[in-house]
Amino acid sequence: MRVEIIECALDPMREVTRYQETLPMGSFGAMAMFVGTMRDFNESDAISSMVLEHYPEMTERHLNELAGSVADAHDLVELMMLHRVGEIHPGEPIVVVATWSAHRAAAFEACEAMVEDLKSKAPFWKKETLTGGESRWVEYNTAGPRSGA
Amino acid sequence: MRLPHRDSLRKRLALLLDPISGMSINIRFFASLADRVGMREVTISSEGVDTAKDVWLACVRSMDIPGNARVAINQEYASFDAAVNDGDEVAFFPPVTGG
Repeated sequence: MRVEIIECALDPMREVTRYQETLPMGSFGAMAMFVGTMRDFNESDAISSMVLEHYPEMTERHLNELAGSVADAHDLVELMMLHRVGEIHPGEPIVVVATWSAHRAAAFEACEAMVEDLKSKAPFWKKETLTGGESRWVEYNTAGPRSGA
Repeated sequence: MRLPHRDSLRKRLALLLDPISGMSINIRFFASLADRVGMREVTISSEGVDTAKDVWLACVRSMDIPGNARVAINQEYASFDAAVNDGDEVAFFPPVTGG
């Protein structure tokens, strides 16, 4: 497992490719990947940058426990979870989740489970700066794809 | 690779700050809630403080607990009725918005 909180820009494709190259050839039959990227708009306003605050001790603990429980529950071959903190600009990746499993269902389901947990439980908070200079906290995340919303 | 779990130096510091009784609770606020209460970290005596709600009342007298506030005790989600003990770290924060 690779679980990291990262304070500088990251390249999701490069990170996933490099990690996958460390896995034994033929050990997995499916890989699913999610990349969350910063938009340049939110609630009809243009956004110029964002700062991601977190609760370091709790975040590390939560992410490691999440990774362990999801890997066990879905019998994953491997997983990777990277999450940015600090100042982020539009177009930059915020989160990267990748899962490797024997078959596609487990890879898809585990990837989604981790992303939804990250969005609803992991102690990160976004503070965005509008192009006019005003800053504000993001008060809620959008509902997940299976929320019915 | 598993991330190292940091030992809480703040707990040790809190105990040093209360040398008479040695009983203290470290409190942390995050994000918009930290802005609203005007502080990020404070240490209080644990005397007479039984629950997370008591912790809030002991250190934030100017504001009721917001309806959407979350609380964690020693880095785990808890309820406001959960018991707190000497040396605990109690954190208050708004709904999370990561990912």
